[in-house]
Amino acid sequence: MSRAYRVTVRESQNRVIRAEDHVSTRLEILEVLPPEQMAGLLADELERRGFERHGTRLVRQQDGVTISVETTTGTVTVAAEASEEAAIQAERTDRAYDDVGPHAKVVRENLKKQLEKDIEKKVGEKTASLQTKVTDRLEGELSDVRQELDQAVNRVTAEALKRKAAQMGQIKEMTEDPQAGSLTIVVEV
Amino acid sequence: MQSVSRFEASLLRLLWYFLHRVPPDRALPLLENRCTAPTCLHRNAVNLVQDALGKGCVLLLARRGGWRRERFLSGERGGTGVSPVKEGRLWERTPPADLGLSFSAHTLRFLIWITANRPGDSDRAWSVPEEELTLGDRLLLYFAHEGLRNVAEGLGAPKLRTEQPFVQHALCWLAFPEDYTAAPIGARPNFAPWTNGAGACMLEALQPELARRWIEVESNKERLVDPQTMRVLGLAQERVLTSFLDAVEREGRMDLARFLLQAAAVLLGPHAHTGMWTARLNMTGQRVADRAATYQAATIFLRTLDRLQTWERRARGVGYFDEGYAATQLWKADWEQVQGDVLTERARAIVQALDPMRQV
Repeated sequence: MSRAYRVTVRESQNRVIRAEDHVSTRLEILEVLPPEQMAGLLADELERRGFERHGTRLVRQQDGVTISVETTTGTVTVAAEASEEAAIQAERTDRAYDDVGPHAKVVRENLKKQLEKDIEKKVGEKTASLQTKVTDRLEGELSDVRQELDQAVNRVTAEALKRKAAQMGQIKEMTEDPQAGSLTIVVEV
Repeated sequence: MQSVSRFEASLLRLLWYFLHRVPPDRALPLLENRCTAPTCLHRNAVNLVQDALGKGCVLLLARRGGWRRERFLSGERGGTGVSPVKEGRLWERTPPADLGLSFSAHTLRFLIWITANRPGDSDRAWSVPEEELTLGDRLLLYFAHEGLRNVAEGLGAPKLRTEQPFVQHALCWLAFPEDYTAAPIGARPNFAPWTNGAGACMLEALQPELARRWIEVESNKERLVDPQTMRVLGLAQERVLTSFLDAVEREGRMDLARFLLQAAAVLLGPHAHTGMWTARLNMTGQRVADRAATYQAATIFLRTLDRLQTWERRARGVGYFDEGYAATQLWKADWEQVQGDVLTERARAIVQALDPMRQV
């Protein structure tokens, strides 16, 4: 005896898909001056570059990426996140011996369980896709962020050296070549 | 000739296997077997166990490094309150009377249990708080762990390591960090017994073995493919290294960390490169955060050199009449012997090359 009735179950859910990625590193800052002063110089330099001060932390957002620098430790965190609302639909069909009877009920229950798995699988695929975009966006910014922070550290070090030299004696001559990245200070002690 | 029962003969054979006196193929059938333990052992068997422990443990320690003429801090304090440095074999540096090992009933109970059960038997598990063990007990368990990991991985040996006392056994953890990737989050190895007294002497003797093991663990990272496997291994290494270095620093026994320098000297030759730690890792589809965590785990040993260098820098400022002068000078000598600054620079270069912010 063949199963004559087709049973179809559809499910539609609205889900919020989230993805985030981040990376941390530490800036290598020479302690030319005491740590608090170096942290202050770093904070000033970062403010000039568009960072906002939140206590000892400086934060800047650009192109969906958040750059955060803790000036006391030199820890840099670059983070990207995204979320989107997705309508997930799934449908499954099977056959039953009856239309609205007990077998159809069992078939419908089984189909609902399978649908849950299908929906979770689709959510997983969308999450993975969103995650790839977030990771790509973060990677796209890392190189520029690294270069910019290296420049900031160089300027902070140069400024610290000038102040240190001024403390040691009278500065007779100071020559700076930004392109070569060199700084020459002649101090009379 | 002393006669023993069949159970006692099996027990003795397992003990001899742990003490490297019989080959693994004679121990494996005994580990696979389950039998009923007797209510007590005969005097003959206990005497034979005592004899095997007393001679076997000492022989193993001597063979593994106790015979070497090395310089270590003496455990005794001189007239100035400063621990002098002594040179010689283990029993020349420390009087034999201070090297005595005692074994408690826990050793015998463990041997009875391992003879009657398989290591992974949870319904009849053997569990003792680690702090109740004597130094002799701990040493025997170390040799037992070594023996079990070689032949009994499929018999539940990994499960044994997640429970007391093995989960806190610091020497097992230090020598075999890769066996502790499944240790519970709150578990911490207990290094207190191993950083002073006879325990520290044992660590002195085992320096070559510990160096060899860490070279092996680090070398094997090149073959790891799964990032998650690398992360859990790195976490286990970090936990044991942190506990160990904190303990030796607290006791002023930085010389016990010498094996780390010896391992670094082998691993960080002039041609050391990132591939030696990460060549086969499959990072496809990994987030940047996960990649960074994986590389951090891969380089945990390399990053430890920074801490060891801090000790050397601190040692430079210790004066002749300061507390800990002998210890710091010994560390400085060890550091210079392996060219520690050069090794640290090489390690930093590898760590920096794996920084995701520098890879793009």
